[in-house]
Amino acid sequence: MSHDTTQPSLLRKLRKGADAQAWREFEAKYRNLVVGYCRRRGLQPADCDDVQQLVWMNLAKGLQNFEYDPRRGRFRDYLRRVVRAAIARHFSRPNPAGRALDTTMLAITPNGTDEFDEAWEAEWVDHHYRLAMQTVRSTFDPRSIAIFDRLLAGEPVATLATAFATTDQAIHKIKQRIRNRLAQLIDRQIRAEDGRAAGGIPPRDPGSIPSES
Amino acid sequence: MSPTMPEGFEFDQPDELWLARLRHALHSEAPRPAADDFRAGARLGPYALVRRIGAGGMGTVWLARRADGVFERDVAIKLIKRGMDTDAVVRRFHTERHILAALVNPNIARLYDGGSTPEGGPYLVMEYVDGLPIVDYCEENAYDVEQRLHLFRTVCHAVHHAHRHLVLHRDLKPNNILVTSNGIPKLLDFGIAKILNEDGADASAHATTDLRPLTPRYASPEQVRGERLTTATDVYSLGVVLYELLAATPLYQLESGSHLEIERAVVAQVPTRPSVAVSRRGDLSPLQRRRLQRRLRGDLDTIVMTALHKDTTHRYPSVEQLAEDVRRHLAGLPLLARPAGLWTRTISLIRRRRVPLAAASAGGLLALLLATALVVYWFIVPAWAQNHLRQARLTIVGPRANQAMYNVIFFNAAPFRAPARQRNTTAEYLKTALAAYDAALRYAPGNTAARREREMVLLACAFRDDPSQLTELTTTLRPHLPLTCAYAEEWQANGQRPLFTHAELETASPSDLRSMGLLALLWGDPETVIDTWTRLSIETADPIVEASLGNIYLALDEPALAYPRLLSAHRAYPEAANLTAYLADAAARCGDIEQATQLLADVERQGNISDNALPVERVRMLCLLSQGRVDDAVELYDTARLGNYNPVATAQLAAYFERSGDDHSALRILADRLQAHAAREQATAAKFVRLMEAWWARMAPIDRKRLQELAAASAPVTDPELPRLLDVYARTRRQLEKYPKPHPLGLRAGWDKLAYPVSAAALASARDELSALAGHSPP
Repeated sequence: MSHDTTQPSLLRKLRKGADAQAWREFEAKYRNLVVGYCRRRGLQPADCDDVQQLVWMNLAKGLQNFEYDPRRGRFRDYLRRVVRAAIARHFSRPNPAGRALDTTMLAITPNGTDEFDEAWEAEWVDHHYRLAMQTVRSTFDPRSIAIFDRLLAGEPVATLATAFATTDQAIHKIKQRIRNRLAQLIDRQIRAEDGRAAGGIPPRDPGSIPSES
Repeated sequence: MSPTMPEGFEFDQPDELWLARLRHALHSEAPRPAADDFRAGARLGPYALVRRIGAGGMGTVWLARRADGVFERDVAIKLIKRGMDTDAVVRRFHTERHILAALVNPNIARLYDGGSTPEGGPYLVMEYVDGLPIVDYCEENAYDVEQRLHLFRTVCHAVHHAHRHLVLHRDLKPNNILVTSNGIPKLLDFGIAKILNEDGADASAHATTDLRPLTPRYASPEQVRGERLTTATDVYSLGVVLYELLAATPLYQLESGSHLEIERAVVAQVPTRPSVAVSRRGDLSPLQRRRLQRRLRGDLDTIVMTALHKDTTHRYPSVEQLAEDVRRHLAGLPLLARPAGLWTRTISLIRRRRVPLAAASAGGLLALLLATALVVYWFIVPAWAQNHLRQARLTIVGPRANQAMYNVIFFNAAPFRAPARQRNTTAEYLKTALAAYDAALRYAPGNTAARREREMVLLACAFRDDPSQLTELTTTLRPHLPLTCAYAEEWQANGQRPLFTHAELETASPSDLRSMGLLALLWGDPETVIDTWTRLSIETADPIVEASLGNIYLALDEPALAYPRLLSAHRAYPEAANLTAYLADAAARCGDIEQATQLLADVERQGNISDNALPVERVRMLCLLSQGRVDDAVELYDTARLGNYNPVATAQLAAYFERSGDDHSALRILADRLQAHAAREQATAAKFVRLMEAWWARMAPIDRKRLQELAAASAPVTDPELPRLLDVYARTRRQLEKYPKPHPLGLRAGWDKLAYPVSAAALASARDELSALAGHSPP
């Protein structure tokens, strides 16, 4: 997956319309963000999917008349507006009798605009963590990933050191390497998303990452 | 923290915090498609996967074979891709299972089974449809327009069936409508179907939604706009399919063919009419092109363009109506969706024929003459044809036909087995129908439906009058109507109704089913009418079919089944007094007295109130009984002399008394009827005998004993009716044994059933005691 494609260039491809590959890429990248946000808003899965369809459609239509300009605002804010409009649209369709009441209530009760924006921001952070973790998984050596997964699951460093016949320090080092790589990837993803040139951040631990391709 | 460290990601916090954040992010991940790792040869329950035949957003479809030694069968197995089996997807999968389980229709791929993979993921086992997409099938088999329309109607019926079960397909396209090698279309892929509200709009709480991007070529404008969907959405998609079936060109001519271009066209562009679109086809010779254009112009253009209307309110409101218009076109009837009146059509006709206005003003008279000739040719002649056809059909479903059907069920007397007087009546009405068909076909020789109907009337006459003509007719008809011919010959040879297998009936063409049903109707074989026409009429509103089935159900005393069918027939032929009267009968038997009274008033307005063949007085009697006005009902029964000519009225009044516990009154009116019409009234006889025995069995032993003693002493009894009842009983009992076996449908109708049954042993002993009593009873 080419996360390094800048958002504006991906959007330009979408503008052309015919590029099915661009849509697939876009969907692979943003589906979780949109659906995740809908879930945070308490929508039922079926409604999340409907909203997601609506977002794609609105984006496709919107991009016909509007070119996303990174100088005018961040992409995540633009997408947030599209998603929130789609949710409002979805629930403003006539006769919501067929929809479960709780979903409707959660979705249309205004608990304060900030709350909804906060939910979006939180989901956006999760989204980038997930994208970055995906890259990490495909590039780090399986042993490091196995150790990191067990760390994530909450196992103590000492237990892992014993299990993998290594030292506590080595475990810590793997954790730091992955942390640094995640931070670097996320920074790059955000820059790409906002159409800025990709830059690196100096890792806290400048050790090499031999297994990364 | 580094200045470029992304904010809000907590990398600057202690490890536990960012790890927790990451853990949260990963756990809240929505399902993502993962590689499908089932392989050919893998086993799922009794099924072995053979090869993958399809893949969608969340699942894959495999061809599999049941190979557990029980029986061998190819099936399609639908699996959820690993990694996709989250609660939401599994729920959606179960929704599809429920949808399919509810949809049992020969033209919808069946759901056979379901189960869980070793990992616990669900799978569905469905009918494997080995066929071609409908458009390809028609092209490959060089189907003509009529054949395509018949096939399309079958598809419409399947979709309407789904709609009736409140299921919207949402993804109708040729690839989801496969036609098997024996020409049966099957609807597939309810994977993104929606369950509708009762009012026909989607109920999103139960929705199953597609995960793949839209494929807008068959999507309706409202789908593209993301609006609320109704059955009109499926109408639109069917419209696109019909367009491609008829014009064999895509709906829109696009430059890039991109999704967005198609979407824009779907929302904004008015498609070219099919008759115009075929001019783009380079694969046809100019002559073929012109011929096809002529065939599509008019009705078919109107049907397609109505189905494809951007605005749902101008579209066909239901698939049923779309199918109905296709049927009307095939039958040469005016369309429901005819957009313009006579004048507009004439003008457009002249315009189409390129009669320039200049010429009209210059050679005014010539143009006027031409226009008049065209109007006569295009409007008046078809109207004549329609009138005659209508007359023919009204005769077919007229009161005589209905009486014949009652006779079969009530007296087990088929028209050709009935006494000579009845047979002649039958022959008369068939001859009237035949003359009307001949006239209709003179004006509209191309009307195949009318031609087939006429052939069936000829066959029905031939069976009675001239068996050699029957052989001749079946030889000519066999290529078109194989099952109907088999039916006619079998009955001629063996004198009984042939039994067709389910598969034979399922695979018969609609025209074959319709003809066989009609022949069965004319021959007085209600069972075959039900067998063939209930299949045919699952979704159609063919008035002959509806009227006849409605009447048969009425004769079977199943008014709730009869009512909707008669209502549909009444709407098609509102002027037919007999249909109005039968509808009133059904309404009265369903307990809707107000509606029944209203309909009877309509019959009166139609001026047919005195026709004894119509059940007007009987329905009045039923209404009075329902209102508890028993004395008035009995008075009407007597004054209208219902007991003299209407055995059904007798049966109904007797049944009313029996249900009210007044056995005596029930027995009295049945005995009256039997004394007046001793011969052949099997149902009345059976009812009387049964009721008499039940009355005796229920009597207190002391009263029975007293009557037996009185009889033995030849002493007069206090009840002056009793000797008469015993006399009628003894005669009827003897006669009953001579009757042929009751008609199976007569048994189903339960005319001889008792409202309060008594044991068989008690009835048997009552029979002996009553016979003895009758032997002793004073004259």
